[in-house]
Amino acid sequence: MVEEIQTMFQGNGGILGFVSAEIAWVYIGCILASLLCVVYGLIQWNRDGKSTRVRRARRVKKGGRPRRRR
Amino acid sequence: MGFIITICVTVIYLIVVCYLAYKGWRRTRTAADYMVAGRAMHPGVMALSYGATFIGTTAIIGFGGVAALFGFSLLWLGFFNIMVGIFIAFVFFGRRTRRMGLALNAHTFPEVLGERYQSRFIQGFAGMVIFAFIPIYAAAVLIGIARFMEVSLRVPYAVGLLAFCLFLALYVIMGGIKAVMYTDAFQGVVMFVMMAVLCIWTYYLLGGIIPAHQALTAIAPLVPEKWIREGHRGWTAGLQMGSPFWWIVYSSIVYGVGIGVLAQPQLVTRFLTVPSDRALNRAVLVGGVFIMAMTGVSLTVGPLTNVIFFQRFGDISLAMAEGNVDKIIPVYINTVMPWWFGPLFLVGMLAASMATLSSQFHVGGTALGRDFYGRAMGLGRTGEVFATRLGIALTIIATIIWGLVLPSSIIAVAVAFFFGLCAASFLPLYFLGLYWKGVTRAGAIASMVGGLCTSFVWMIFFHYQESAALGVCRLLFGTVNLAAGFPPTSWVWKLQYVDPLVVALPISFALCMGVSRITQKMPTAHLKRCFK
Repeated sequence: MVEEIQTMFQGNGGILGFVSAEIAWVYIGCILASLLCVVYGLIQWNRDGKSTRVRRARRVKKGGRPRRRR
Repeated sequence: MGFIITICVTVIYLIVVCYLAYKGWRRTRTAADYMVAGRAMHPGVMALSYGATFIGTTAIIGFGGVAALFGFSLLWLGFFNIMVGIFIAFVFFGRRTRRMGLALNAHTFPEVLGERYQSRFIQGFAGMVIFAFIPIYAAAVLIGIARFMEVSLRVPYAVGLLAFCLFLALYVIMGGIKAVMYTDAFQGVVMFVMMAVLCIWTYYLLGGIIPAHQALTAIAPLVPEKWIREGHRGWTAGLQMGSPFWWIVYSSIVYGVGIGVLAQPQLVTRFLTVPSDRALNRAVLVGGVFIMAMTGVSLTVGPLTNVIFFQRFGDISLAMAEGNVDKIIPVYINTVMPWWFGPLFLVGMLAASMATLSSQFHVGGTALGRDFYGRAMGLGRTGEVFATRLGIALTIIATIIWGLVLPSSIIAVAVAFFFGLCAASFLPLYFLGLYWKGVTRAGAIASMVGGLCTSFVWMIFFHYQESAALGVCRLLFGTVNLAAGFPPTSWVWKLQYVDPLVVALPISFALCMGVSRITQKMPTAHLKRCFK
């Protein structure tokens, strides 16, 4: 099983078919960085939700006519 | 038949863009709506707009072509784009920028800096730097799309360039940032679909991911002798450390563009448009996936074009594109991809360039109207929105002029130039201003002016591209640059390939911190307001 995964991962020319390990790791790094953004976005989905819309609405109430939403 | 389909798809696309621009125009009432979308933009729209503005034609055609030349080493740029351009930018810069921008009621990037340091000079100077140089970056994008329209729609180059600019001018001037962001988001979706198809199809043609990379490894002996002398070791093998190619890729492209993105005015403005930190957190998710699909795909497909071209036509990419790096991806689309992909790619290209250009025009306009005319000159009460619209019109005119005079293979160069200039001038005072209360007004001014001047000195006297184009060094010293006269094996000779940002950014940081240590601190009450 481990050998099969290694063969699939390494191919003939090196890791993922690249000659340089540096290139292979940056290729994987791009995918991991993208995954990090996804995981971070999901974990933080509902945190720190204080909105500036509230302040705008209050300011409108005090001074001028209410704005019509479209 | 194919040409008629291309025209139909383009017309449908333009109708959708017009509708979205109209929607943005209808919802624009105040100056805040025009500049920062009333600080109430949807996170998904904001993230797609950020990504579409960030990437544009420059990444797809420009960096895709450059990757076909240098190989997979350029993937470092993709990694930096995701980690620095999205994750660090949103998490460590975005939140504080949004809060500080709100506390100081700032509408533009120069205004964030100007208000943070209570300096009309900083705001006006930053505004003028952006207004003066953003047309060069915009022109590079415009050249790419005008050349592509020339081939696909059979529109003469100059006519395409003018017509495209006028169409953009209409919706940016009329609709402000809301029109720009709504259209950007739609354009982002179009670009995402296009790049997904491009990536899957390319790997499919080569029999899968690993076989594709192995096939590219196998054609390493085709690398021209001249490239090997410059440090090329094959498209999948990385570049020889310290060689001219290594310096160009890592100092100008990876470091310059990868780090420079943090101080891009058109991107920082996006942080000011969202209503909460939560919107920024959500935008990280969308942005991370989107940038991966854009830069990641273009930097992967670019090198792989070599092996496909070789298998089908017996030549590597640069030879197929007749030596013009910017033509590699368009030639690949026209000769290798299926016929139905042509219209999709054209629309994707129109979308990418429209997204980037519209934001560039908007930022150029606000830099002149809001930052220079309104604040630095103190004329904000009279006709600021008019001055901004005039600024947009002047930016467009300057872009068209640059578009007609700049040479070929310029896209990646112009992007690196503008990103580097912004990072050297603004990054230290922007970054330290967000995190360190000890930065003083004098420190910020020294950093901004010092960083800009160091960049220009390096460009004029050392960097191989700008020094040759400007000719000042030849006029004064009789040599193309001060490093060119040394033996090619010496470290001094290699200095001509070192990007100005490598030298200017540390100097700019040192000036900011050093001068701040010995000059008068900012008032405590003001700092409390900034960091509340």
